[in-house]
Amino acid sequence: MINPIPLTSACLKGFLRNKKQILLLIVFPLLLISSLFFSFSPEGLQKTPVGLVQNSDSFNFTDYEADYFPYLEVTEYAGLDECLEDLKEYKLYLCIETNYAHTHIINLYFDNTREPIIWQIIQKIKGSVNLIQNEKSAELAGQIIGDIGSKSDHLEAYQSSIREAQRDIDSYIFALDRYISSLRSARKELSDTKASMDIMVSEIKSAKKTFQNEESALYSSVISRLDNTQKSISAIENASPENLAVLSMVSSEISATKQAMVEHQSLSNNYLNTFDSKIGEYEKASREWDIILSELDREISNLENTRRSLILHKETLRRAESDLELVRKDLNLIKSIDPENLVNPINLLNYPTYIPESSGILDEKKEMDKEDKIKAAIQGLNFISLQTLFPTILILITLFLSLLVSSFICLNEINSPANKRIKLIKNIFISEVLSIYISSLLIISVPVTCVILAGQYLFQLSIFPNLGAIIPLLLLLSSIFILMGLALALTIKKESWTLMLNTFLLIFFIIFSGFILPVERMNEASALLASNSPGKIALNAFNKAVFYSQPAGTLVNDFLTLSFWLFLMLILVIAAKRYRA
Amino acid sequence: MGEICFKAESISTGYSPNLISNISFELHNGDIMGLIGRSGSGKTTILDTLTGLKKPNTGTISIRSKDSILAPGKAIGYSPQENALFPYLTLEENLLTFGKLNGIDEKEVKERALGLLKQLDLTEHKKKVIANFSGGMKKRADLAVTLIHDPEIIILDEPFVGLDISIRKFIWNLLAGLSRRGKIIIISSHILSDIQIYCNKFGLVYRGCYYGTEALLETLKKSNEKSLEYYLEFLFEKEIMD
Repeated sequence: MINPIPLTSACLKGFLRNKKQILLLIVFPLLLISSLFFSFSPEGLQKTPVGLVQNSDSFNFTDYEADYFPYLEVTEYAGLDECLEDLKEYKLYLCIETNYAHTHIINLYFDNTREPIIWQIIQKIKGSVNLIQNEKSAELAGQIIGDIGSKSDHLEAYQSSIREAQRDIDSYIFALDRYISSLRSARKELSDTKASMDIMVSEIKSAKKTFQNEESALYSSVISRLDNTQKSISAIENASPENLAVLSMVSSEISATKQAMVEHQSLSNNYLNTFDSKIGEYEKASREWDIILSELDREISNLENTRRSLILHKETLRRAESDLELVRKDLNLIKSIDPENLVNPINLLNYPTYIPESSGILDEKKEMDKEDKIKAAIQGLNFISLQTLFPTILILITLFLSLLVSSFICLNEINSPANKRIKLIKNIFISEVLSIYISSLLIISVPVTCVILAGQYLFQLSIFPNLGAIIPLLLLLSSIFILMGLALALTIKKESWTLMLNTFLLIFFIIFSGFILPVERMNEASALLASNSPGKIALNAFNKAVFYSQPAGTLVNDFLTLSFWLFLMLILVIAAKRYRA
Repeated sequence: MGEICFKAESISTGYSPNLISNISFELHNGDIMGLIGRSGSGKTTILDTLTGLKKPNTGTISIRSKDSILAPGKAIGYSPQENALFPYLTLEENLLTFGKLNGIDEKEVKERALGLLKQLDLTEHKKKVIANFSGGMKKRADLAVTLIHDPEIIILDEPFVGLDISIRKFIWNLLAGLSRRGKIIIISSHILSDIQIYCNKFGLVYRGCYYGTEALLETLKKSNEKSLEYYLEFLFEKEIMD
């Protein structure tokens, strides 16, 4: 193969010494890029002229204008028709009409021929109106919550009284417990005493009965024996009168004993009767004790019932207190609710997944004050929007320059007087293509590097840490479009035609890469083509690398698809060369 | 390089109605062949075919040395009608570029360039960009680039267009010198007097046919015309009248 360096050097020198080409392909794109970068304000939309028709006295739009709608340049109109007339003359972007019918109504009549910018303006107005709405609702909710807070304080007083009553009941229950316990111990003592007395009386009664029986038996036996003895003595007296005196004395003694026995019997009976009467008295007293004991039981039972009632009351009070506590907690909960949350129970919060560290715009923990909210509503996320716009700009510039520069260089060479001499050299084709490719790549690298530097330092994108993925990506993309430009130039040869076709190709790739028209809105076939177009693939891969620092390994599919495109372009170049030959 | 033979056999080239056929010649070291014909007759087509830029429809072209066949690329130095130089490169850069493209190392190219520039009286202009050269300077520069790889066969297409007589003479002298060094030279020109003086072989393209030296000289003899210039002028006028 012939060394491509001399031809590359000639191509480069030829390009760089042609001021027109430098101006057209290096200076102009750089100026375009610079003007593009500096023309977009990070402050977002500039002042937008709108018309205002106020039909509501209660809602004065102009009161809110300075704070909430600083991006609008408001002109008041007496009627809607006049406002719409000016809108149709493109003096206004929209007409704002305020009305009142039970609620405030703001009608926006917008010029839908000015899409998509009109939607941005409407979105901003919506954001501002939402802010006003939220603020007003939050104010009202704050008042209501304040009232609820004072009610909660009253409830606390009620709770305190209930707790006091509970304490009183507790002390009553305690006293009752004491009484019941005393009564129970007294009853027990009484009952025990009575039981032991009853046992004693029963034993006494049984002893008395035994005694009575034994005495009666003894008496009968003694009397009977005495009678028998007397009878014996009488018989002896009859039989032996000599012993009459002795016998009479024995007989009298026996009679006296008998008398003594009768007397003793009588005395004993008296004693026993007295005993019985005493036992009878005790039994009477015992019955009375039983009555007292049952009365005591009744009283204890009553006291216990009272205690139970008190416990029940206490429980009722506890429940009441608990209910009050719940009510109080609910009220406190309501009191603790941010009025804004009460107004907007369901909040849709958007959390973008790409948050540049340097921006500090979206710190979800950071509470935004009113001023911040207004600023955010007005500005949106302009810095991030600009950041997300950068890859599209870079890819477009790479695409545009690759196609045009390679076409230019190739046409320069084809149409150069020197070309006839070059063609004389055998097997020059590969070196020729390589020299055009290398020269184009080197020339493109200048503005692309400028754009990358702008991305790193102006747009604060993390490009440098991801150069490992970005450089091969851009290299592949430029190579594809360099070869495409080369193939075109080789096929057409004529400068004007080639450039015209390049323009159409660029438009095609811009449209079918999702740069202007979203791929998601295309039909299936177009979407398939667009989503696999080199521009779209490079854009997605670049976004992945820059915004999410995806390593080169995760971009394998993108690299493979781009490599396939590169291979296709190589075939195209060879085919073009054959066609040209 | 020793004996060289540049041979064209029954070549037919171009497309109807500008088809030229029956081109046959054989040139050896030191030959200078003048290719003549009216404007648009197909001289450039023949030269392009001889250099290999155009494929012949039929026939063969061969460059043979004693024991080998030479590739036309390196053996031929071609100076087309328009100067075949990079306009935005200096003369030196042009010489270096084409020298290197022809496979000569930089040192040798520089040495040869030095000699050629001196020979062509361009030394003081070597750092100038070709676009700023005058017509004569451009032609000399082109000649220098044509000769940078020291070709055995030098083909020049209308090298004298727009040049004054002094430069013409300068170039003819140079070519004569090269011929003396054994180079084969093919030159197309409308200046028939120069052709008659400096060339030893001729080729005429007339009404789509190629007439070689012998045929031409024979015709000239038959016509009792002593000057080739007058005879050809008569022929060309006749062609225009027809």
